[in-house]
Amino acid sequence: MTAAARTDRLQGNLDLLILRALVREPKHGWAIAQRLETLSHSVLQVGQGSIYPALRRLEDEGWIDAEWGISEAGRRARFYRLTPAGRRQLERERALWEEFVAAVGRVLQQA
Amino acid sequence: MTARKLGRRLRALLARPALDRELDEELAAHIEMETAKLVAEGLEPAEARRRALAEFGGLERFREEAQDARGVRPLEDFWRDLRLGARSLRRRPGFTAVVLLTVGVGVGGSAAIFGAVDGMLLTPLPYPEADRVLTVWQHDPRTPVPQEATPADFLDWRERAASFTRLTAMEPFGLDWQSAEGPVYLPTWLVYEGFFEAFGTPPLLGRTFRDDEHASGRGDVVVLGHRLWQRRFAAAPDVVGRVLQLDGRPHVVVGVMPAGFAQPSDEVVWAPKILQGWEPQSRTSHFYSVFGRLRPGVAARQAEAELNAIAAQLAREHPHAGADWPVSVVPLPEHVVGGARRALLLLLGAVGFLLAVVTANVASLQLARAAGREREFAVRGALGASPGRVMRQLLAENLLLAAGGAGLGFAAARLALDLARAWAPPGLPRVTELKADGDVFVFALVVSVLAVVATGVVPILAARRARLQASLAQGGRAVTGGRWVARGQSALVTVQLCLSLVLLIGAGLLVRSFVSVLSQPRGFRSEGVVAVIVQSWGYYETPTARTAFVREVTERLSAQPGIKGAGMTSSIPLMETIGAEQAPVVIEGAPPPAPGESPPLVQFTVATAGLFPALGIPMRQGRLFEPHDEAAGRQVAVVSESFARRYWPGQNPLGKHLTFGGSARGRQPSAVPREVVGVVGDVRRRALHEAALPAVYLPHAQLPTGANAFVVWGEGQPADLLRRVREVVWQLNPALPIYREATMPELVGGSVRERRFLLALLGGFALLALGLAFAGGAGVLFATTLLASW
Repeated sequence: MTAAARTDRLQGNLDLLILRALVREPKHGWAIAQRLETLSHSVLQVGQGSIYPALRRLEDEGWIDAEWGISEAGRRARFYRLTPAGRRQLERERALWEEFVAAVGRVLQQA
Repeated sequence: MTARKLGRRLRALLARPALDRELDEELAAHIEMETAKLVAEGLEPAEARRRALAEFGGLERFREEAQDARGVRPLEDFWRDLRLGARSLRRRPGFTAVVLLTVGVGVGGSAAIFGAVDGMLLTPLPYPEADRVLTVWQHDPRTPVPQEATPADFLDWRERAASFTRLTAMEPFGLDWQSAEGPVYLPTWLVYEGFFEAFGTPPLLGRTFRDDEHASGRGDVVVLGHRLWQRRFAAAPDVVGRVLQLDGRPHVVVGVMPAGFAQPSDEVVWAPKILQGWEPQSRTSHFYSVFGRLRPGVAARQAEAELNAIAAQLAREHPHAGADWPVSVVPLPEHVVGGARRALLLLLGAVGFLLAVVTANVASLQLARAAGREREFAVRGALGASPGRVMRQLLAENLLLAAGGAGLGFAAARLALDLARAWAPPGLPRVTELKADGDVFVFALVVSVLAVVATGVVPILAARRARLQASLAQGGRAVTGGRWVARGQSALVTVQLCLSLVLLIGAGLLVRSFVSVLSQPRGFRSEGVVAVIVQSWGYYETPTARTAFVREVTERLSAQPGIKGAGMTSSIPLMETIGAEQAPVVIEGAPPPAPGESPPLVQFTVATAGLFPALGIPMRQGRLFEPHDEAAGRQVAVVSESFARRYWPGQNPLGKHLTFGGSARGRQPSAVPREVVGVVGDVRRRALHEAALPAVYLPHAQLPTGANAFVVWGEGQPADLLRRVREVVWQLNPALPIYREATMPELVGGSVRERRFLLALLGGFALLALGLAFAGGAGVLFATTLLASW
């Protein structure tokens, strides 16, 4: 797999996980990173900062919205939340991913 | 794209610094929070911060990536691509220069021709709804040339036809102006009521004619044509109201027409037509140019049908020879440019070929270049540049080349069109429209972009797919691009050669026809011959006076040193006629015309004996005119060889008689039998490529016309000869204006000028295309053997 394809795959995963992380409530960047570490160890292997390009991209797509607010510690932070379009995208991605996993599983079982 | 997205993108474009600051703050907040967490876990603050940064990953990198992801990157990228493209082109000056030049040439030529076609054929005439204005013609079934209408027919059409809001006409005339600088002949057209209104063009200054000015005694007013106003009156804004001495009477200038109003030209004067007593009965003299504006809702075809129906009615009411001639209408736009249309379309086709050659040439260059860059693209791909990215950069480069080529081409086209306007032969319609305007610019841009971008992008696409891995593996500089490039290039060179050959063959055919036209025997001499034309009607009232005047002038001219021959004629070969030209003739011994048919129309020319040696027309039989062929004596005529052959085949023409049909205007030969006393050689009178028509010559003493063209054959400079003729004329009558003067070589050259021009252009295109094809082939060889430089 070329470098480009691998990055694409990772990016896809990252986007999905970020959307997943925002399902319950809005979070700021650091909080999202903490949640992602819990959800998947490898996705932020490159560095926590890698979520910021992803966040910007998701924002540009219209799946998340951002607003400045105050964090728990009283610090100014930028909060992200899921938009209705984002929720729909999440559902779509989830469905695709589960299909993929199932297919791989079948292949591996046969082998 | 939703409004929000658009808003975000706009903000990203315009408020970039603010967004950058926000991002910085956000990232800083992240680091701080991570640091705080680590401190809470027990680390030292400094250590905690260091760990936090490490956890974050490359701060700069992610910051940049976040900035990238804003969605306006494409625009900034494009700008950067352009700059990179420019740099890359500068690094290869040879390639860039050759492509720019090639495209510039191709686009320039095609844009110039497009400009001409656009201006002359596509741009509408400056008259509102010009295609609703029709010109009306009568057709003599014996000649292919449409005839103007007769006065009586026009008057009847005007009264009876319902298809036109206005049916009007103009008649050629001329006025002698005694100006401050001396006598000047002003070509004049007498126009009927409603003439200017039919075209719908208001005057630039002053007014046009009032209806009451078309009556005798009220008609001494004139309207000036635009170019005439510029040339002779220095475009003076106060010319309206000025009084000019025309034909010995004061005339008032009442108006000036705007530029572009050129019926029939913009260098004439218009005066109100006053109906002459004999005109309502005249059905055989064709000299009215008839125009009509169609009534709304009426089609040209219907108008034509109506006119023909009226003509049939008239034929029943007034049966006469020619009453059954059909009537046709021609819409004004076609009438104005019809002649040039074929040549223009031919040129357009030739230009298409040239463009194809140029495109193939550029494609070949681009192929060569692409082959040399495979390695570069492979490396960039490996470094992470997406294929789309590379493509965009290539596109930017090609767009730069295209823009440069278009600019060069447009400049060249502009120059060419300006030159064409300045050097256009007189009589070329709509010369003012030959300009490089917005249409031409758009054309140049489109053609250039297509040629450069299409040819630049295709090889890259093909290359990438095939060779990415292989090139990298090869390493080094062994990049010939492989077989497909070589094959592509040889195919392109072949295409170019074929196309240029087609052009060359076309030009060659034209050369052949051109040469054949020029090499045909003309029947007259051109070297050393000049002509000076006057209209002596008003200055010598009686026939005797006119005869004496002409005799005096020719005698004085013959007596001068260096003059080898001098004569007078009423029509000069290759010049449009100045006197009556055709009349029906009854020929002795020839089969009479069938019932209902009119006798044949024959060209007749009035001449003095001296004309034939002066023009080098050989005498074949009998004699030329002699002094005893006077007005009162036996009426004689001299005929041309083809006349004798046509009407008296195998017989001796001398002694036979001709009788012309009656005169309607007093300027045609009277109906007395004339004896043929001589036969002379044929003359190609109308055009060099048209066969000589049978002609009859009458002695001036027996038909003293005032249309006098003095023809002189002599030594020395033509300008000098012209001056001497003028002097002799003015010795006898200083107030007589010179109607026109010309040298025979000028007339001969002028008659082939269009062909020669077309030939030059086509030949030029063909040679250019061939040159490009060869250069292309050579360049390919060069490029494949010296790859490093590409």
